[in-house]
Amino acid sequence: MNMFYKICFAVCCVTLFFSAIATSAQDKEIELVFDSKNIPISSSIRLDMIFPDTQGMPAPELAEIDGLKITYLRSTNAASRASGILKHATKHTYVITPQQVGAFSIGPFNVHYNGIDYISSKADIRVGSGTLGIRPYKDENVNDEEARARDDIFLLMATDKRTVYTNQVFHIVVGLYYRDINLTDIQYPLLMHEGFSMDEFQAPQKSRKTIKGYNYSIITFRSSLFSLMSGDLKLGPATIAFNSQALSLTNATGLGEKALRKHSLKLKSTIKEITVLPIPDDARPESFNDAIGNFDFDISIEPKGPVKVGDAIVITMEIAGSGNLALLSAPHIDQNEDYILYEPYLKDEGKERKVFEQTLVPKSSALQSIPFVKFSFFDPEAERFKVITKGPIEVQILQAGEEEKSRVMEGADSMNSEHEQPLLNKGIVYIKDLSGSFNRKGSYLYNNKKFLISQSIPLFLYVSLLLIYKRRERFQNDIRYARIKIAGKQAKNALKKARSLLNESSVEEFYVAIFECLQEYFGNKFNLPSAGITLDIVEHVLRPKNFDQNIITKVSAFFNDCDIAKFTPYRYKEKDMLRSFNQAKEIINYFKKA
Amino acid sequence: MLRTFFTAALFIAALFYIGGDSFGEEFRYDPYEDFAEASSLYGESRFQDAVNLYEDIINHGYESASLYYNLGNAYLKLGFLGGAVLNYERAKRFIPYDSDLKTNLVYADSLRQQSPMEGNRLRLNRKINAFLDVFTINGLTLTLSSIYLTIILLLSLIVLKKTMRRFISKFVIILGIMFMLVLTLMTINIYRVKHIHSAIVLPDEISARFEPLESTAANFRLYAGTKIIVLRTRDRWSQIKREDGKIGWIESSNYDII
Repeated sequence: MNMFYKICFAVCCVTLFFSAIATSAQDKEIELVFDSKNIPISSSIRLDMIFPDTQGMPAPELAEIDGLKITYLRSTNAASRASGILKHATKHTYVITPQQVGAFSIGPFNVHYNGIDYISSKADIRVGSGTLGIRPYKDENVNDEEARARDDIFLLMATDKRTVYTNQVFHIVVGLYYRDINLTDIQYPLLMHEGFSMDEFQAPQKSRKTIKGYNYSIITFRSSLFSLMSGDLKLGPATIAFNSQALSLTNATGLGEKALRKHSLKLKSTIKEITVLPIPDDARPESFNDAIGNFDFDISIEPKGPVKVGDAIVITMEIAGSGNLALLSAPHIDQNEDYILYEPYLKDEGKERKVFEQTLVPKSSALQSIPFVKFSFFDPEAERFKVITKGPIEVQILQAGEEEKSRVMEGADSMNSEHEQPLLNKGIVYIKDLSGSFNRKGSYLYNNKKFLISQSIPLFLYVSLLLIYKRRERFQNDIRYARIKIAGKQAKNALKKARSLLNESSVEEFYVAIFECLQEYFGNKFNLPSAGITLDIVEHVLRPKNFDQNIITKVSAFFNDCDIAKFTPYRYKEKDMLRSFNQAKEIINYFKKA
Repeated sequence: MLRTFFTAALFIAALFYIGGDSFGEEFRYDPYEDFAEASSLYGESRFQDAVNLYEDIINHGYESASLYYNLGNAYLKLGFLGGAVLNYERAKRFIPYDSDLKTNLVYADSLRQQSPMEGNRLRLNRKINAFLDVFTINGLTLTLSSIYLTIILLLSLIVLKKTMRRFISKFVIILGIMFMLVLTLMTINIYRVKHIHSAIVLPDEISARFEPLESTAANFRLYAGTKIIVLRTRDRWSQIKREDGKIGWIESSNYDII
């Protein structure tokens, strides 16, 4: 019995061991899901590659296949519960766009990820010419959001009218719907619009919408257009180019690296048939000038009071409403012998209004009123012509005085033979006779050297004035400063006097003068009472200030010499006087610099 | 002190001399003569000859408000709307307030074909530009100079009459604020002239493309006389921005800088 258990245990162990080896050695299969395997050349299909038991696996790069363009679209993580066990998978979606007709083999694929080999089988697809009755991936005629809700990304085009009149404005919306995809570099749509005049697309608007439970991001482009001819015209397709961004698994180094890659994509919408009806000829008013829409029309004049002959009256004509404003021209006003009428011009233009102004100059006081103005348009909703008549507007024209009669308004009508002007009814003011001063091109005052230098003079004068006043003020208020400033000047004069005494050889007077010179100098320099300056005081002041020891010795010697010379002048000769003079000069020069 | 003063005075005089020398370059060419002749040609309705002579003055490196205005008129007479608007806009830099110029510019603008989308956006931007256009750079420079001289005069008065210091200081502060405002305005206008390359479209109709290539799709259309801003150039192509913010590429020969 014991033996039986041992054998059973051994069999179980061996079974488990081999099954473990078998499991570990087993390759996992990639599931390939195609939208369709028969596609027309003008269409594209979607390929889903499902990798079992993976989560967040980067997308592998698929090898190129001649005749097919494979573009990565997006990846999603899927989870399912089977027999109570939760299973994960990564789904990578690719768009396959055929480049030529024929049969193609896709796969088998072999992807190595996390030590496991994922292998797929081979799949065959057939690309037809598009007229072989092959079922297309996308039904090109279905153009509504719900029908496309299963798609990850699609482009829709819609117009607010399918039947319009020539020149009637209608609107178009191109919407790019996408979900779970990161789109970048989205370009403005290109729309085939032969036979239509179209505005540029307005700035795109982004919104979100849930369609059949799927959350879509929508980028909407709006524009308006009108047809230039009648008949059954085709509008579209609209094409839009953009990039999708996704993490891809590259195998350039054999290490299965992840990289963020951009894929260029282009989507095309369906074509719309627009029926364009011609504007009826029946009951077409004479004043009709291709205006189509629904408008209001009003006129006013300025000034409203009496006007003299030769003065201008401005007629303002405002057309407001919805319709083709681009083609609106100013309503016609009849010419008359009583006035000169200038060309109308567009004064203001808004989204739903246009304002024209026309100048009228009365030639005689016989003018009683501004004639009526008719504005006619075709209303496409009511399908009939409408005419709005405004006026006549009464005016009071006064006869101008003789002086005023001779006044000529530039640009007068050619009918006015009295005033031959170069500009006849052209609506512009004549050229200027005076040239004004010519400048070098690009030269301005701010970069004119002469001007800039002239600007510095007032500043310089102001700074000088300020300095002079500051100095004067300090001289008056700061005695110490004033004494320091005059010390050198006084010493210079005193030395001059001493020099003349030296020349006269008057020893006693010379030494008195030169002693007083230095006494005065030190008194001013160190703000001390000059009369009381002695050798002791000088030493007492100079030593703490750390002046050169030699100069202090020289000052002491000089003061001693002066003292001795005052009492025994006969001992001092001319050369001693000269030495003392030079010593004094040297001392003063030293302290001037110190 | 006096020595310093005289040295500075001499320095300024020397600068004046240098400045005067470089600025007082003798004009060999007489633009006034050609201007008068061109104007008489215009009077005889010989507009093309007048245009040639006016352009000749510009090619000699001279400019004036009247020159650009007359040239604009002559181009308008020849039916070259792009050239007319270009020269009116150039004249506007000198005489933005001139009523004749305003009238003709409005008239030329009314002849311009405009894309319906063009006027719908950036009206505020257009209003700001219209406000800035009113101030010429030379006008602002003279205003700035006047304020500056008044400030210097008042400061000198403060030095001479200390008792008036408090009273005058208030005016100096007000003038200082005005100086800063005018300086800001002037800096903005100089920046616009130097760095924002405004231009006018010359041909009757051209397409602005998505890329600087003939083969790429057209993004939007431009008509003669439309004001654009040149953002950058690449070989013979320029990236431009229309007043409503639309950006595209056109060939550089299709516009001229204002």
